[in-house]
Amino acid sequence: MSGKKRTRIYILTAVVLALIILLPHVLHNDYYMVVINRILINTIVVLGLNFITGLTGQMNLGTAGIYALGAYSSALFVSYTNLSPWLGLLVAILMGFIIGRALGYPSLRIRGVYLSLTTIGFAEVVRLLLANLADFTGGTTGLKNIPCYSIFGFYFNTQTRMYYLFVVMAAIAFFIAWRIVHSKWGRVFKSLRDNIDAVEMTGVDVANMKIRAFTIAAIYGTIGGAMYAHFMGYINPSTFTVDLSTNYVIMLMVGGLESVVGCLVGSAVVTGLPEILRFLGDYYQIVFNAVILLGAIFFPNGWLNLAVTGVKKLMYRMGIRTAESGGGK
Amino acid sequence: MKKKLVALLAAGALVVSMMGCGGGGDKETASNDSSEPTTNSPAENTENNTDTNSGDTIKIGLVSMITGDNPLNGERMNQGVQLAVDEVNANGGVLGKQVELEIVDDQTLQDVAVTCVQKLAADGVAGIIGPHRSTNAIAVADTVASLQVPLLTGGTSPSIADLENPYLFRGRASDSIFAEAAADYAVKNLGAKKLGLFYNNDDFGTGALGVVQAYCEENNIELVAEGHNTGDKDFTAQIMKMQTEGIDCALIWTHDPELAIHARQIYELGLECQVVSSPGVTMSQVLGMVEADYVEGWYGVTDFVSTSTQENVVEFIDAFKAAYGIEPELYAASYYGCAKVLLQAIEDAGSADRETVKEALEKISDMTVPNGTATCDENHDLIHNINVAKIENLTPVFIESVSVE
Repeated sequence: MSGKKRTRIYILTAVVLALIILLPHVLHNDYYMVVINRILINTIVVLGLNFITGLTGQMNLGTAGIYALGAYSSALFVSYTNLSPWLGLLVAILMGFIIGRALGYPSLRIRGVYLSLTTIGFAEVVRLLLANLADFTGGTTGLKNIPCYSIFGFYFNTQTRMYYLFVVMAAIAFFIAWRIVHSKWGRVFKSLRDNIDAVEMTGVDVANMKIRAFTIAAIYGTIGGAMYAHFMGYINPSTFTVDLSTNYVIMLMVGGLESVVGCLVGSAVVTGLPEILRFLGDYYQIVFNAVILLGAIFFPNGWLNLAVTGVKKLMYRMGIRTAESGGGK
Repeated sequence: MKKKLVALLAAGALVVSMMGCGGGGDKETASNDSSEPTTNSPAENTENNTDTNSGDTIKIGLVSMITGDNPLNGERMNQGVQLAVDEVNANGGVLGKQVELEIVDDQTLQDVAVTCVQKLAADGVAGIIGPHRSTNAIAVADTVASLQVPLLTGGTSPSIADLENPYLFRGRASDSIFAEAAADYAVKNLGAKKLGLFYNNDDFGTGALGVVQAYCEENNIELVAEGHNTGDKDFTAQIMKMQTEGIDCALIWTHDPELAIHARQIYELGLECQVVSSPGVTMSQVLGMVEADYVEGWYGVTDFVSTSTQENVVEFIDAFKAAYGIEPELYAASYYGCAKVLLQAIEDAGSADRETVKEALEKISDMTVPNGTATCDENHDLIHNINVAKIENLTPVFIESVSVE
């Protein structure tokens, strides 16, 4: 890499960083910050879903259940023990590990539409349990007064502060997901989807890898759920319906399966576009859904694919990238 | 050179599209965004950054449910609030300014409801009406407190009052008032000595159970209570038990489908007693499912009865029919009332400043609205009375308005 090129990369990184840091001060509006925070939380969940549905190609329609358990395990732990929400996050991660193992095993025996049904069933069981174990979970009234994250007495209690925290958390999640996707594991995940018999032939432990995909996905999902709980300060079982699970699959599809950047794009489009379309009044949902549907027909590989081609061309022109330098999606 | 130009154009397009993202929310505020503050971060808000509506109009917001589970109810909310705004505007507006209504849809989801409240606050509304669901109202409670914007909800869950949120007001009677009023009416007006309560095992039903139990203990009334679950199709066991116990009046506290089945089975099994029911029985949702004989002579407690003879209610019904060509129901009436109360509070406050509007809302008293008389108490509940209706040939006939202290 020539020195000139390196300088350009540094400049680009600096510009992106500056944009991220300055964003709240440029927008100066809490409404935009709420939407951006929701996008960041959704991105983390979709990054996880990408491992199951995107890479290993198993349709998971139980994301709402994973998300709900993340939210409730962190929130309940914090409300009962009065300990820091950060410990709640650890509890949520542990919960994610358990769910991943538990959901991963059935996936060894069932596949396709039956696996989808199993995951829907799981999410519904979770929702009904949360609604009916009223003495423990607060039932349909929900769980109130969930504290926000804090570090040494500094409270992330405004939208802007939460934004900085969530950007860091999303960046870490993004980086780890990127590394996994572009590692040996990532390649095995993809080959599980494309030709499972061939993978087995090469001596890879298929069962172990499938469970691993589920576990990573569930951990991402529960982290997202925990962030949601401490972001909202109030959770209720009625949020975690099949609609929510479907929404996450739509985010994944819009961004483009198996693409890490696509997860960010998908969650931004599905969370942000309805807000942008609000000026259409009563018709905004119909327009939004039409746009998504047309996207599914005309860009089946996700909107990102379309953008990537454009950006790649732009990067060639700026000299940051050469035809040989490759790089992932 | 040409290549660079293309690159530049592409970058330009990207920037413009991003600006588009930012601009979307502002489209509707074009009329009055020139001098209002665009920041609403709670940290800055503490420095009394609630100067709103400095333009030619006064803006109020409505968090409605245009999409999601109950779009029809949301439609009625919109119509009710719009009617109130139109009436006020036709009479010269508030504080000499026209009132502008901004409606946003919360999809009956909690995180979207929070987003909606943030959007309305950023657009500079003086006060917010909705969201309707109690759970959504609880979800936005912290946000309205940090944004210091007064909000009037129609959620009836008793747990809303438990929040003790200074900016949250309620424009409908709490569920606990309904249940107490029903028991009180059964005992005082129908002369019941032994009450039977059929209740749903969820929030709604068990809330009523607690209230009725307390009422009966206080007044030395015998109570037989039998629960059931949402989705149950047979209540023979519960009804037979009531028959054996010999109750003189049954209270039924459940949702629409279960209520309709109760009506049929009570009729078929011949349980002879007076019945006072939760609001469902006064609405077409239940009346459309039952035969006239099943519910003849039943009483229902509700916010609003469309056959009321009270002057202001008749006026409202006529105005609503003239505007939309349909009969108003509970949602239209309650949210029309909420809008009237909020606009009155802005008028009383003498400014659209949110803090003063909130203080004015706290001082609202004896204001007549279609669903009762609005008086703000220490819990920020505005409505303390409910209407009793008697079902005659599938039509709810207004009997009287009952208030509970």
